[in-house]
Amino acid sequence: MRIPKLLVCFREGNWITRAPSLRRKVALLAKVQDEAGHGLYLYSACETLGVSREELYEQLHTGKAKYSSIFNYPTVTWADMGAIGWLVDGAAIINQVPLCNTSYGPYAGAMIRVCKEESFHQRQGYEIMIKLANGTAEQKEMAQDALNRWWWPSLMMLGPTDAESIHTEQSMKWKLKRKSNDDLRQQFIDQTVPQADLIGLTIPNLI
Amino acid sequence: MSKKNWPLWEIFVRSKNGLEHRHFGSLHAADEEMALENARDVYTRRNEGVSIWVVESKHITASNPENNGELFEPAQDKVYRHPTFYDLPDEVKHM
Repeated sequence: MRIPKLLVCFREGNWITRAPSLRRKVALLAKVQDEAGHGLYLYSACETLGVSREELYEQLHTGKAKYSSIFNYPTVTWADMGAIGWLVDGAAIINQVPLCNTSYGPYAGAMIRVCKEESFHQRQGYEIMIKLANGTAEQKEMAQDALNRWWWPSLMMLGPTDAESIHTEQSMKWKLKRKSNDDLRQQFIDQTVPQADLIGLTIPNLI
Repeated sequence: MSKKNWPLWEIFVRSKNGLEHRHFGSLHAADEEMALENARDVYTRRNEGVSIWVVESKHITASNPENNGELFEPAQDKVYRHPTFYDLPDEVKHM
């Protein structure tokens, strides 16, 4: 389970006071608040398996509980808030929608709630990118730079290739996971490339 | 490290007047007041509700899935409890 949504709160929470307008500030505040809620849904789902909240925190702190490497990349400009919403939340949605049908009920219930709230995250991110891409040359450069840095990490969010994924086979058999990593990644690429074209940004591997 | 958790609360939300409260999820809180406040922040940020109930989870008695057979199967062969079991002449459109 992708519990460390809580880590979003730290990374993006840092930018709330530096948001360029009130519109951006309330949106980012609301997003970060959502992410804290999503962390709670997932911890609650996990607790139904008999583990305590404190043990789960302990596992995260000691490194026993794994989290997505996406949380390790720095956010260096405001454009990163756009790229993260658009790409990282976009990839998360692709990953989470099939999980609404996962075979473990409490996990599915949490995912349904998460998906309902997540689409605003992606839209607010894309809106930031649209504005920057249509702004000054310097702003457009910021947007392109953010896309360049977040594109590959976003693709990696969908997990190792099917051939190298050690959990996929069993998780698919148990119907915990409903689509393979490569299928999800292709879906993400197909969805995102036209969105980049539309606002005049270039996907880095097509340069 | 202590493994003590705040008690777990089950959260029920009425989405609008006239509808029933539905189970929305659960959360930990020290007391009922905190449970209500947390439930409001976690589950009703987008006008999802007009009323919240919180019940400490330990007060809920649940049926055991192992007993599903004896509990629920007896209803399966009692089709006469449903209106569609009864034949009506075609002329009677609605009853």
